[in-house]
Amino acid sequence: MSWETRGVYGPYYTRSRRVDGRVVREYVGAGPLADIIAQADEAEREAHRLQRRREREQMEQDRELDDLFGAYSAGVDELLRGVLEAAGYHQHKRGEWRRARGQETARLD
Amino acid sequence: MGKKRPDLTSGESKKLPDTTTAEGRKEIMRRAQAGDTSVVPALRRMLREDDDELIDSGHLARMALARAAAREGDLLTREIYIRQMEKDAEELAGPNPSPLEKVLAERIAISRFRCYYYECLCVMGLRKDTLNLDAHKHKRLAAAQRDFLSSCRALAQVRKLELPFVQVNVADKQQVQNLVVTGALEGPGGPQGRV
Repeated sequence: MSWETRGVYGPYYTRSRRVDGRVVREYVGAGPLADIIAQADEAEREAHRLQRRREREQMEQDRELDDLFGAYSAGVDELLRGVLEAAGYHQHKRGEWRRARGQETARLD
Repeated sequence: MGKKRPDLTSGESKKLPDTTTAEGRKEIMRRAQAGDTSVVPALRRMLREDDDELIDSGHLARMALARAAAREGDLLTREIYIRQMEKDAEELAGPNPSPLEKVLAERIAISRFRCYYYECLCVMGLRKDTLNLDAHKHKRLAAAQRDFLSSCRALAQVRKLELPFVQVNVADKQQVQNLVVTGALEGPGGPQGRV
């Protein structure tokens, strides 16, 4: 946020906000009261920055956990595929598993 | 000054647990995970003698999930979560499961717990989270639910299919058990399959 000086007047504390896609600057005040308001605004912005950083860190941690599950799940799928293919099945159009025609159940004694 | 932490890498921290009991085996695995080098010979022996632990492929995922769901340092909750997932997996696998069924049932148990956990995270963040974080959590929940459904589908498919089986005759007692072919075949030196 900004302090603005116009000629011999100022500095004034102003806030900017977006209205219908345009930036509108509004006058807040001058003097000690404006100082306090500016500090409060700065503290609020700092809190938002911290929150965003915490969120980013949390998302990063979540991603690590999800990657671990992804790898685990892919491993199990790979195992399933291997076992079923070894047993003479094939996956029909990435859907159900079917046995190849004419293949009988193997029985080993 | 802080407390001096026990040196787990020195190799002389504790007496070795009995590897013939389930508790002892778990203790060895726990200590190995904590970096205790003194249990490595026992761990290797244990894994060579019986590869039951190798089939426990979801161990890492289970641990990571329980660690994330429990509060930092809350070992009781963590262990309860782990036990809950193990129990669910046992129930889903049913009596005399094949090794493949065991793995698939375990994945369902882990996925189910993951869904519960993510749902809790979503609910806990209601009216507190930013839109961005809320969207992220819901996206994760949706992915976990998809994963859960696909795990259930995989187990159902395996149960539906008539997989070839192997009849294993255990010499002395002549017990007959059928195994799904997963490489657990009887070799020349006796039965090697897990019965």
